[in-house]
Amino acid sequence: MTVKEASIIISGYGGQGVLFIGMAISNCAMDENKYVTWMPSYGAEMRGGTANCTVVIANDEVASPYQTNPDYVIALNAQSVEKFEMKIKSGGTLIVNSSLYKGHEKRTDINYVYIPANEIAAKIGEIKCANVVMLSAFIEKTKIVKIESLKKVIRNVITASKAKLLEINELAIQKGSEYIRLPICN
Amino acid sequence: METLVFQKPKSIHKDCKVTFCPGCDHGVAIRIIAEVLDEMNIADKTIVVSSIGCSVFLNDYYNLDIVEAPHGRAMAVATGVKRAKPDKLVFTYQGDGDFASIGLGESMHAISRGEKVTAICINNTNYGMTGGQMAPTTILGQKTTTTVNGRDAEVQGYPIKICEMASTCEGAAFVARCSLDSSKEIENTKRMIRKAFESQLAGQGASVIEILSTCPTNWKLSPQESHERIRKELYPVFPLGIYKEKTSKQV
Amino acid sequence: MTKTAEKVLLKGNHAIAKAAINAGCQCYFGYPITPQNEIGEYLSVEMPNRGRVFLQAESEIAAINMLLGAAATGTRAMTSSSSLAIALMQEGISYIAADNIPAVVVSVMRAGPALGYIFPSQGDYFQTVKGGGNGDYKVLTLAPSNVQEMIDYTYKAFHLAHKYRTIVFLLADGLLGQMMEPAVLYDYPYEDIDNSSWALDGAKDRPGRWIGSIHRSEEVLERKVLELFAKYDVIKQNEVEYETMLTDDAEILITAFGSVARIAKAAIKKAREAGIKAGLFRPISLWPFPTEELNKMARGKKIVLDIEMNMGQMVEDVKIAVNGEAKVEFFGRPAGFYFTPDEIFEEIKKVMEGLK
Repeated sequence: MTVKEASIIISGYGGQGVLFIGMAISNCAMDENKYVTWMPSYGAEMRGGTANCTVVIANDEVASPYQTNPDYVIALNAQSVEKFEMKIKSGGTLIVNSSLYKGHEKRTDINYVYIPANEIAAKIGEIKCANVVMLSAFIEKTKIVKIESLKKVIRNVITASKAKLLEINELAIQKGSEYIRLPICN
Repeated sequence: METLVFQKPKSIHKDCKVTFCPGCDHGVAIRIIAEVLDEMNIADKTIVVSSIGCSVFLNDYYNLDIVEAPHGRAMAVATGVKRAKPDKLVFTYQGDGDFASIGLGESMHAISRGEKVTAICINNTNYGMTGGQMAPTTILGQKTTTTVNGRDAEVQGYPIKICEMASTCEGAAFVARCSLDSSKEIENTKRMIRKAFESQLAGQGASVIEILSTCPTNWKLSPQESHERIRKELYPVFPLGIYKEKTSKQV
Repeated sequence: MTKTAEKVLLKGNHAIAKAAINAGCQCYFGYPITPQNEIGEYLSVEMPNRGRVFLQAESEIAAINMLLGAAATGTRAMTSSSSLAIALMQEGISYIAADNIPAVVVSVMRAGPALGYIFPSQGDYFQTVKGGGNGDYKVLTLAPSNVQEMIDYTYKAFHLAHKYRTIVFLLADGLLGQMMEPAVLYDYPYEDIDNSSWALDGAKDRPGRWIGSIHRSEEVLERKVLELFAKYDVIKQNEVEYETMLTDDAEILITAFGSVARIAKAAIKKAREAGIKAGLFRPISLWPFPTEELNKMARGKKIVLDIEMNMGQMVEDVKIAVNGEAKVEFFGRPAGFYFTPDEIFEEIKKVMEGLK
């Protein structure tokens, strides 16, 4: 069996919920019976205000949960782009929160996808959902897992007592994936 | 007419032979603790924590459940025993070096946590087992094998006062210093030990009994002179008395 | 009692904590140190919820001795820590071993020497397996390599600790502690072990019991150590555990433990695709080390390549085991960097080239 493995680094400010969406996509992969690992950055980086996690999804046991050269980077802020843009594998993809990053593309051998996640989240009425918008757009773009799995995971995570929050997150999933389907993204 | 026979307490092995130096107070302390356990009828629910120093040979004397702690760690071991078995009476038997030098951290933290254990600390102002070196409690001017000209505050600092220190801890329920230099003081020490055990069983917090004791071999004094030294030299530095006593209302 | 429970996404450290609870651990004592804090944090909530003991000690020295005290009463108890703080526990570990006290210590290795940093590492193989405490004693050591095994071997650690009245280490690293992976948290599969013949619970209707290590007679001290080693012989016979992959036709045998072993597996698959006959021998019980098994496995192999996230520690046991049956080479790097499968694959190629 050929090992197929996709590695994703999700990075942003502490508080943007990067660890959360990392766990969300990991749960999606688990629900789809894929092998998956989630590994947080811990220590100094955590204290420096930025946070990231690495998710590896594969069709066999994941060798290393830690990856220096990921296939994908989901960057929720400018620092994350600066940190990981040069590390992405050739042919890989950088998904940028374009609400917080206006820089130039430094590489020609990777794909860039821009999602104005803060604006989209603000329109929904909850800026904190920018992370879910980004994840939803990423899933729609890469099809690494199913959007349906994400909806299910979000429903499991957010308890019934927080119906309003669930509604907002479901809207964020919808808007994120819709944005990818817009002509400008293809 | 009834014949009274001087017997060993039940908590002491029938065939045990005391191996402490002549005139050493350890044997007296060990015996009166056993008497208290027998009188309170709690020997069968007691777990003892022994320590390192002359106190290490406790298992030669007590027919009780005993666990040996590494040097200085008796109060940590006692914490583990008591937390695992909260219905037992748990006491440590330590020297002043074990309790207040290498083990000061464990001692003060266990007392501060209000662990429901009793520390019985034999203070003989030197390291008896290793040959009479300076202890945390060696008084100023006292000659030991590592302070041959006498303890000098400028060089070795001041003696640590166990009861004064322990009584500052909010978790301390009963703290007392006593002595074994006369039958009157031995009786009093027994009363203090009993109070400490009762305080523990009442769940009031940590209790500490510091017992001023002789070390004739290393002090290079006779047993009588040793008790005289306790009265003349140690009483002024380490005054006897109850330093802390939580009434049940304060619990 | 089944493994049919649902898979959940679990962090390695949480897996250990949850497994400890399922294993009936009644007392946990510990002091904070990264990268294992999630164990204590989780237990600080969940142990009191179940009427069990969580106590944050004032130091690792206090923690290991609290463990000694609690475990001496026959109570299932554990501590967890990391590297430089495990170093502080060594005296207590020697006592627990000498005293035949059943206790579980979780060691989530970080990078050293000294303060180093919190990166994953395998730099404490020697510390654990060769012992930092004084005297002749052994530490039964189990090395998981994924989150599921954090559960499996936490269970086994409690079981073996009580079965043999011995100290058992679960030796993990920061990678395994911090990562999440799907795992099944099944029920504790082992029977309870009766400890009424030795545990301290008050000398009621029986003579007093003493748990201690001081023996003033040469004969007694020697006998005690010989008894300890007789027990170790039984452990060696019964508890050696290892995993192999693609070893039958292998020309190059990779030896690796813990998290490095899982990375080596991917490298071996790559090597196979490139036509190199590579296989894996992964010791799971680091002590008792699978010496005879590795010796047999090494026969007829062209080379044994030992890979560790340190400067070469287990390789010494590998060489003793291989005992000249094949050439042994070492590939390692100090902590702080993780191997990639490609890096190990390149080393396999290099070593095979060197044989030509």
